[in-house]
Amino acid sequence: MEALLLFGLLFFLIAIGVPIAISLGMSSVIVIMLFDTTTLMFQARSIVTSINSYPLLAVPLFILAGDLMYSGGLSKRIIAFVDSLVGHFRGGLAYVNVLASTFFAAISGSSPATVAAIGSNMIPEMEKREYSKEYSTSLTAASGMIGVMIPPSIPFIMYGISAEQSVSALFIAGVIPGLLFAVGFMMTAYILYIKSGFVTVSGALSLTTTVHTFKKAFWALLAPVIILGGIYGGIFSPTEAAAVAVFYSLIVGIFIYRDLKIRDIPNVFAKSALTTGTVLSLVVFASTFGRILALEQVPTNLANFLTNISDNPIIILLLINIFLLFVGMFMETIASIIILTPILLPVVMQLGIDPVLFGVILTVNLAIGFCTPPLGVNLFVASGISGLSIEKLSKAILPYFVIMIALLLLISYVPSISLYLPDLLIGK
Amino acid sequence: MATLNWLNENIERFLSIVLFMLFSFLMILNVLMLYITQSAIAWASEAVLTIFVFFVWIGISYAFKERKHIRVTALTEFLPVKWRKILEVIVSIMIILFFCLLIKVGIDWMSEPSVQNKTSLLLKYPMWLFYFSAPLGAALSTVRIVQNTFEDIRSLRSE
Amino acid sequence: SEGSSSSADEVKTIKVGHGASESYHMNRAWLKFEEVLEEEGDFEVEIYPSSQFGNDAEMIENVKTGDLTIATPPSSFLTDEAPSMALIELPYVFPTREAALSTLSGEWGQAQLTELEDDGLYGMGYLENGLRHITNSKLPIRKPEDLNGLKLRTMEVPAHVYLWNDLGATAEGAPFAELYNNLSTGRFDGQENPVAHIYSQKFYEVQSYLSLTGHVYTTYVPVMNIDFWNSLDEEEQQKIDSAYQAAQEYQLQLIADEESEQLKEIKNNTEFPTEVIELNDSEKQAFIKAAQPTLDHYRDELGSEEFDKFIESIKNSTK
Ligand code: NA
Ligand code: NA
Repeated sequence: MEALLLFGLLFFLIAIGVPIAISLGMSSVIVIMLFDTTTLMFQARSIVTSINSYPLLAVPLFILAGDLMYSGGLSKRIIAFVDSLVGHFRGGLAYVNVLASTFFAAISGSSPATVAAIGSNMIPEMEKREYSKEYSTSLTAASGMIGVMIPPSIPFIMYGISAEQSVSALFIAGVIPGLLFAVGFMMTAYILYIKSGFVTVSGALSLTTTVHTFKKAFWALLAPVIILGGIYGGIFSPTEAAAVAVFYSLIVGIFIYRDLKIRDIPNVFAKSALTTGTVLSLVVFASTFGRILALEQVPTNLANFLTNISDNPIIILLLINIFLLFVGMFMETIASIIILTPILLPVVMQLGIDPVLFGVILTVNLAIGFCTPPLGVNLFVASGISGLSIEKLSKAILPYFVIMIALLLLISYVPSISLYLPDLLIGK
Repeated sequence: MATLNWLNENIERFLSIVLFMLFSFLMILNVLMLYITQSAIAWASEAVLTIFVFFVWIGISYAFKERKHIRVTALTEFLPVKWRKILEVIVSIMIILFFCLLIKVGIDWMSEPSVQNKTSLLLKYPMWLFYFSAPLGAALSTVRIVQNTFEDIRSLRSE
Repeated sequence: SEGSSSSADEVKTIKVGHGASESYHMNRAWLKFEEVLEEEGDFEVEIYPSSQFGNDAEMIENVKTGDLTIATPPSSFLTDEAPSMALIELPYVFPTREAALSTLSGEWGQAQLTELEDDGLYGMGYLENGLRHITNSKLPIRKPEDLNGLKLRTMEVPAHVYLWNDLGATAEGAPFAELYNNLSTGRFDGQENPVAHIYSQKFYEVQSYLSLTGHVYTTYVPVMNIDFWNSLDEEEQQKIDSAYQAAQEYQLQLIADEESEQLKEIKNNTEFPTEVIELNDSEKQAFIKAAQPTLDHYRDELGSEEFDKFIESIKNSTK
């Protein structure tokens, strides 16, 4: 009863436009005041202690590193280098877009940030070379999704904290699925390109350009090597890696590329602080919500309910995937992870599904939600850059949605796609 | 007056930049120390987390000021403009009440006898200081929401 | 859960919170407590493992205000309420596990529990966590000098960080959650924990040597909201105390049985070979001697009078 009211209130408050973070806190407070489930003080404590968590520090630091690398001109140079490699193919800029997003994903922890960094360069460029607005905007919004699958990844950090799973294992588990999505998006872009009948302008292949742009992009391409090499080479933990990424991007942006001016640095910090405020407010208030769920034994009840429907892991996993896709359409990713992990994890563990694999499945589902209306942050950012309406963009992205679902099912039912690298690298 | 104006415009921005730089710097320093001098700063993790918690609460207020908190407007967009703005004002008042409650509970908590003799694990500063982050962030947020609400009411009148 | 707060037959709900996982022996001790106490019919016990209600510091506060009935923090979290509890986790203060058990269940241990009452806590007793041993991936550690330059993870307790740095290791207090990975990638060469953790967290998979140094005795101190305790009649208090006794005895047996089994499994695991090193008396003495500067440091810091009283009571308990 309390649990139903709690969810009812949450959706009502979100629907009337209360920020999602506050909706989480407010619905909990109303339920406590009505039912005396626990005291307000008990809840107040959770909102401070929930963010007193060392692994959580990686969130603002990876956001900052991404922003610094964008301001420091790293994304620009990555695009130029990738362009010199594949830009000369027919429809080459489409592949440049996907590959640059994939490279930038290895420095950025968030999808909308990847869309912003790549899209603000690529969308105008593609327009200049006669690609349609629908084509370039939908492709950018879709390929930005890779941003959270290739490490670093803020959703993986949040899942790792909620599920008490190793962030390093999750990070490396996302690599092959992320690359699969990149291939899938390039194939879809190719088919759409052929069907569209565009006459686009392609560059010419030139070894000198490739060498030249590689030299320029070298320090940018080295960033993921340092971050991931550092984590898996035993030099630092994922949280420390985030601090190192900030340090590295400052050095490269200021002293090597010199795109980052000292006087602009406070602006970059302020921008990242603002993003952090919107992301971590969800962590703060979701903690109160989660405690009432625990008190009401919601996870146990749901697990019993689901396992009563079927004890076939394939069917339960399908149900969970449908449910998560639905959630991803309406809910914000981080909030969904914090609320759903404690509810769903016991269910999937009971079915013998690996918790690291489930982290990948959860993240992919919710990342697909980045690209679906009504709440799809990638759509918002991409539409903001190109000026294409959300309606038109939502339609244009449909073909990508099909390949996303196909790959989601593949990842769900072939565990080794996600688990091969963690097994190989950290024996877990 | 000029100072007050500056504070009004920049307080969260300024504080979050300073706190952000401070804890990033401490973390970087700690990692470097570990590899150069083979010894970590014993209290670094706690100092970093304390600054971080304040940073998050200031960030929450900053996001209210800039109206950047994540919210769903897809459903309210179907309402007529006037009703939408009225609903907006009602929502703001609800949030203000929520934060006022939070400030009260937060201050009650800080003044609990059980908190009075509690100190932090490594730095041994009084724990109430740590808990102060929540009412502080809530108070700053409340100010920002009140300001936004007045702005909304003004624009509602001018319609 | 409707009406759980005011049912007619006055079943009292006891909410127990702790930070260990469901399979850990401490959780199973609480399950025993639940089983024994609920047989009597007056109480309903709800157990919330895995820090669902916050970290240990927060759970202690929740108990003080009555939002939680029982918390199960390690003794090091209660040093604001009972300062001398800081002495328990000092290195090599207890010559044997038995000495630790009898000191804590004896006069000294009870005096510490009484200290908690001013702060609104009824100390139920001590629940063993175990003796900490050191594991690493580099070399079989037999003497303190073997620690030189070893990158070691310890608990975020100053005494422990100081101890290992004094002994020559590069020690760092770091969160437990990422430890397995930090060991597997080589971010740390070694760590120190009770056998139950080394086994359940599978640290032996990524470590090659386990030295049974037994350097620190660790224990949980279950604390109950004192108003709740005082609201019970004598018979009810009796029931809780005896259920707790049953749980504690069950857990001690559990640890004793499991520890030797777990050690055997670690030793005989062919997929992840781990050498288990038992220290002989003179080797152990070398560690005890090497820990003396840390002890002296804490004797000064925590007060020589309290410190000496503690050492005295350990000596008496072993007589
Ligand atoms: Na990424
Ligand atoms: Na969506």
